[in-house]
Amino acid sequence: MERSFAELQSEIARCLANPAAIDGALKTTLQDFSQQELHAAAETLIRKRVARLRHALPRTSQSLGTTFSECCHQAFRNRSKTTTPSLEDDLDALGRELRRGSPVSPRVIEAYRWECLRHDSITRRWSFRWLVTRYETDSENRRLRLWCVVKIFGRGKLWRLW
Amino acid sequence: MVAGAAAVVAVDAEAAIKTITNLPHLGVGFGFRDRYHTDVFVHRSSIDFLEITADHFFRASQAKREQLDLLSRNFTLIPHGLSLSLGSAEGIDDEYLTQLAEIVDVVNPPWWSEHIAFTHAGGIDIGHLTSLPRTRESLEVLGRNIRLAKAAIPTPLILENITESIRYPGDRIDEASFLGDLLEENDCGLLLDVTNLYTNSVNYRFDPLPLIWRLPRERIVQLHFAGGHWQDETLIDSHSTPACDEVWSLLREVLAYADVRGIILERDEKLPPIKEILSEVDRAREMYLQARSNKKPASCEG
Repeated sequence: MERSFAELQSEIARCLANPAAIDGALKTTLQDFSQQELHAAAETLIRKRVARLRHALPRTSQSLGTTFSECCHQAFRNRSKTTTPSLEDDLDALGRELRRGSPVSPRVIEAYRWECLRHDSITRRWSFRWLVTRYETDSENRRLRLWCVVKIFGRGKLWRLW
Repeated sequence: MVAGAAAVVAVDAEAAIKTITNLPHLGVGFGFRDRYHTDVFVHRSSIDFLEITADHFFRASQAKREQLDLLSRNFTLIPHGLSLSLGSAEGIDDEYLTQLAEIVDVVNPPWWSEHIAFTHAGGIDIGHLTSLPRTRESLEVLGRNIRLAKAAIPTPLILENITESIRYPGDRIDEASFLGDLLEENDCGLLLDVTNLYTNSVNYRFDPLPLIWRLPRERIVQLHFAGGHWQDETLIDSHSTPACDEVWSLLREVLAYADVRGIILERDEKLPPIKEILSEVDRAREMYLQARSNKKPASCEG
């Protein structure tokens, strides 16, 4: 069910009123954002991530490609929506799923985690979430949940997320 | 609710546009702060009108009520609300509105002002003005709340643009169109905060002039201007310093474009001696009077 405008404002208020919580979730519902646009953006992101990892890792990573996206899908499809896990939790969950039989080695997960932490970690963290939440799309109801990176200013509250 | 002052006309659908266009020209002043309580009377001739923060007079003590009475008898006061939260989807606070209405009733201004923003949601007080996504839904929420506010306070309402702490990826309407639609649909004037506009233009990297020229010029009633400071490569509208050259330039552009009724200098932090305040007020007045005397068309098409 589409999130109401009031609910969106409540989430924003919750984040802005508590800077420590902003790391968790700042979500917005885009009313007219088409699924095709979101899919295209997510797929581009996946390809970029995969390309970077392929370049950085030895031959064992050759199984990357759709496998990586499939693993993400597998790992987070049924995730509880009542919690907002950290990046480490995300990667741990993904790692567990992958170790159950995926051809993608845990080294891939570590490499991706290292990539996130090595670069601007917050940006990459949100990018990773964006990648993951693409699979939360409800195609029947056109419900989208897009995790966005925003810049926040404010007197005395200069949190920067990118 | 409000006694019939010369500048206040009955709210009527056909007369709606006349309400905004018939507002008086007040001149230039500044936002009243307690520190300047004595100074405003000493320098009375240098101050055309004052803006008061309405919230400061809610549940007023006897001393505060006397202060308001004294100020209103000696100055034209424009009440400026902070927390009505016209952009709140959950609605506005009845108690806050009632208190605001009482202040407007006491002061009897030609107009009053609030912000295009929300300050609370879900039971949480954000603590500062927060921007809205520029969507049809936001306009509907604002319209709904403005109608309630106008039912309680028939005095003409002008709305202020804010510094944007958030820009939403889902914005569907450009800012000039959003403001234009908001003002036209709700018959409100615009309190164009030139510093806020400049701050946004710097932080989000756009040219503010085309935006100004697309605003409905007949609805630009009052201006705010102030100084800010830089922190972490971000411009903050802190109201803590004199206005910068770029703000003065924008002020000049707006004055050439629209028949502005009043200009208020805002200073909230690091309050300087009154002479520094009045220096900026005098400079703004010079520009204001020059613009009025020019009676030339705007510098570009509106």
